[in-house]
Amino acid sequence: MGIEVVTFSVVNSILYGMLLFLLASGLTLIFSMMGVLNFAHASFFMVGAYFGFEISRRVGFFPALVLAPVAVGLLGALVERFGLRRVHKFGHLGELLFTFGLAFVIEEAVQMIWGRSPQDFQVPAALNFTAFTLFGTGYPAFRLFMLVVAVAVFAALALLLARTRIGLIVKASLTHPEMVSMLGHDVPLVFMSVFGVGSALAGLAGVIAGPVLVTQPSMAAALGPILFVIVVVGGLGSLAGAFVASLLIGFIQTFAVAINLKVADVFGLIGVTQPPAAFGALLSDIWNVSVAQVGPVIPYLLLVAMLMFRPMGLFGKRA
Amino acid sequence: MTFPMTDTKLADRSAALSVAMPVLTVAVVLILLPNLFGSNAMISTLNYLGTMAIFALSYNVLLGQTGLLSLGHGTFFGLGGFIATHAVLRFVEADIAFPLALIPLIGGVGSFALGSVGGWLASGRGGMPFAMITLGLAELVAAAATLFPSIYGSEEGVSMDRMDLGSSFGLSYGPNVDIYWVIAVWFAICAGLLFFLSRTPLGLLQNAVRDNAERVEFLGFSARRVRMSAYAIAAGIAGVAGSLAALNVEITTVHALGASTSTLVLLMTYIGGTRHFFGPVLGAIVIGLMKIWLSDISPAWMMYFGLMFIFVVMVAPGGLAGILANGRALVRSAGFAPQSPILAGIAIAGGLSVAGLIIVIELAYRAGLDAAKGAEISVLGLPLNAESGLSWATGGVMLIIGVIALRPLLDRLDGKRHAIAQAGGAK
Amino acid sequence: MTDALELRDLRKSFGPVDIIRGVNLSVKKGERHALIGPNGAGKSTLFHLISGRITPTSGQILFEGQNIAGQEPAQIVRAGLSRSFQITNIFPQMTVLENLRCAVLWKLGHRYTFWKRTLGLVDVAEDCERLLHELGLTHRRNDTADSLTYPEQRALELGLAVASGAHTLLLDEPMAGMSHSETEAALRLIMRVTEGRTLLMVEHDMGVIFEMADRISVLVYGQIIATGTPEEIRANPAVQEAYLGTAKEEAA
Ligand SMILES: Nc1ncnc2c1ncn2[C@@H]1O[C@H](COP(=O)(O)OP(=O)(O)OP(=O)(O)O)[C@@H](O)[C@H]1O
Ligand SMILES: [Mg+2]
Repeated sequence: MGIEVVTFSVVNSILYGMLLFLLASGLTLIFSMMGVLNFAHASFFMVGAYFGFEISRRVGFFPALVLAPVAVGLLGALVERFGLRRVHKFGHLGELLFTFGLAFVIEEAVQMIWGRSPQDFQVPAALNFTAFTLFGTGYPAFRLFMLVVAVAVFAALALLLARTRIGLIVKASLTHPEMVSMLGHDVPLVFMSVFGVGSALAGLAGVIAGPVLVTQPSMAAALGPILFVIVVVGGLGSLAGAFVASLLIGFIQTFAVAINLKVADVFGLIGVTQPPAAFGALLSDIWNVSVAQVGPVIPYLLLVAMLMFRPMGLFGKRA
Repeated sequence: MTFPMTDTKLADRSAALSVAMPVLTVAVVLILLPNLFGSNAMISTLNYLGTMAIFALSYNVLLGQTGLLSLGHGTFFGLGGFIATHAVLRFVEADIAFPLALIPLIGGVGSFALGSVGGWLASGRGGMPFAMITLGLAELVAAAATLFPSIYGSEEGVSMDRMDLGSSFGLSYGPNVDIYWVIAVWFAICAGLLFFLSRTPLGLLQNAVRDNAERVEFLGFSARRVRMSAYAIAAGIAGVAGSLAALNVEITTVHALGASTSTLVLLMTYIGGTRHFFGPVLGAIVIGLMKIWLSDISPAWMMYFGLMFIFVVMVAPGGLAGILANGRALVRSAGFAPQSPILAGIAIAGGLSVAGLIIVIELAYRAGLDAAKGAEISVLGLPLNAESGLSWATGGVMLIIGVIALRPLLDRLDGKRHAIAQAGGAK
Repeated sequence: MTDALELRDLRKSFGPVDIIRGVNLSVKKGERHALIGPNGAGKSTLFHLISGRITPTSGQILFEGQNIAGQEPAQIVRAGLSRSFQITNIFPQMTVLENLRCAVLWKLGHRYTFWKRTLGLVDVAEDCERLLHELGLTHRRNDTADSLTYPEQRALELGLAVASGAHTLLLDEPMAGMSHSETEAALRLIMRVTEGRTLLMVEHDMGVIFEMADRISVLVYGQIIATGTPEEIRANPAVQEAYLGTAKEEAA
């Protein structure tokens, strides 16, 4: 693997990791405040991409960058107010099932409105140029822009948490979850806001990812499980953990695709070029496995291993 | 002490009766069905419903009986299918005359063994960690399956011919109805086993883990072992269901062990009702039929599943079985007559909002996904047009009026019930 | 003779906060031992440590001579030490009878049986009838636990601890929140069902304690400041200062 592949892969890993963190941070906030693991979080990401597509088609990409997340945030707040809050009395199982059903319905609704095929969500013209050239290969400006937005949101979020009243409450609830019950009469409002903001973050991630990843109805189902891997591996309720795990998954997934290596190649190094025929078809399957194919498996191996051996995750305090 | 003896005897007799009745009913229904619905299409529908019913029953060992939300139960359905398919292929290859009707036993035992391993991994805790780890395991298996084309086949899956093993038990396994009998017998066996399980000490402990896993530990039991056993048993029965599905359609694809299968069984079981033994069967039948029939006439069938599921989660956690049981109790109760006018009003308002919702959804599909089919559409017998404001308004107004009317009606029902309860208490 | 239960320099801290700060305590076989102390002294925490709900930071818990510190709750129950909870901890959606059935299964050797019907187990049925009768819940046998009144739920809570057949019982405020007459009834119930067993019980009601306890230990701020007969405790100046002062005035 050449130095250029490594360099670009590192940049892409960080980019993908930051994008994942935009999603995981909202999911983590919602979980720590409300104790709900929101299965529909990736669906809000998808809705963000579709809203972004619709809005930028009409009034341009940059207004969409603001309007779409706001719209998704409102949608999230409505879902909390009229859905989640009502199933609270049925306990966590009820809440889990509700968000699960919601994810299902959102995917159907997106297909109902926009159809099953991918949308033509283009990179805006203003950002459609090569940012820099390295080793003779150009790097698209839009990707840099994504990185900037993700970092900016991260900074803004950190500031919000450190400086505002609601931020303080949220932060306190991260470390002392039982504190939330002492918020008094504001609880429902705080919950609704947190759910709304979390959804808006997911929506924002959708808008900036839409033109790069493909905007299609399966994008939520493809990303959802990965998000859970991140919050579990990072430690449920830990923002720092989510950050590290996001980058980790970003690196794993990016590099797995970039590494062009098969099991057969490894054996080729020691002079074995054919699988021993005696072991039959299964061995020849293994023989032909490439790193790129194993890539999608690794996050789930990580998840299962983590839940078994270190259920509190990398940074979590709670099991 | 004398009372316990007579008491248990009485309990035994009524228990024997309450067991015999459903057993007889199930047997009679299973025998009658293929005679009532003889067409080949109907038989294959019945076969599908039968496998799904077994699958849903197995899932309820986890969800209803042990309170565990598994997001990866489809894995064992699919693995059972692959084990059965490969078993048939191997037996044919080795020229062993293994009776086809017993193949699900192999699929079941294989899934049970795999489920024991999975259960050992997943059962450390219940609740959300359990849901996450089952999701992780399922994704792991699904992602890893693509690495082993010799086991899971390529995109088209692995196929076999169920007649290759020859006939046994007087069945040639050519016609669908032969498979029906296999499925019916396996349904009876599985339902019987699971029903028996729910009446054993282990079944009782599973309920205890559902209610309060921590307390179970303070009674000397390991909640983990209880969860593990539930997981393995559910996996084994799901393997039987998967095997039957493989025999029925003679092909198994990687799709069978994917997320959509896991989702489907969750929807069926929960919508059917997790607190009644036969609730999941009801769910499998209703959802299965909707899947087969509705998918022909409406593109929105998945949407209806999702909305039904959310409705059940939010309003009727007992599922369809719970609604039926409550309804029956209500009709028999003395308070039914005075309530019935309000109930009728609720039924009308509810029906109106559902009809309005259906119209809006169908129009939306016609305007979006199915725009190519033209704007003209007939919904519930009404000739509508996805481009006409009037059509949309019809649905919208029905929906809104229905919902607005429901609120005060429900309040009045509450008031009425309160009054009835108080009058009853005063007596 | 070894003590039924002996704690040696037991400590527990939650993060930087020391809650149990070197507790030494011995409970003799067959005695009724009361543990008293002001709110937040660490009584429930001590019970959690003994019963295996949480693991001690350091120190030993000797149950019949064996160190059980750090063992799983289930192991400890099987060894013969069971407990009840201050906050009712039962199986809310199961019937009273089913609650009790679960509790007697291990003792009677049925464990995780899946080849016999529960209803067919004669020993389970008889034991549960006896327990129902003792607890005064016979008429409620088929009602779900969450539909019981508060004293009935407390009785069931006690029943679950007793049903396991353990000969040493830890009862955490079994009568908390009961009215005077309910407390009377509960006390008689406890005396009856714990006949012949070793009992360590947390209780706030001084009347109850002086009536039933052979010995009393006083836990204040994570340490045992005194142990002795009711008379000794009544006379102990440190206890009067730290804890009994107010109670005595009330009694006067
Ligand atoms: N998990 C925990 N983390 C931190 N502090 C805890 C924890 N559990 C208990 N504490 C603290 O330990 C102290 C002792 O609590 P404990 O419940 O043992 O008191 P108690 O003597 O049983 O009081 P009460 O009479 O009110 O039941 C309290 O100050 C409590 O806040
Ligand atoms: Mg206490």
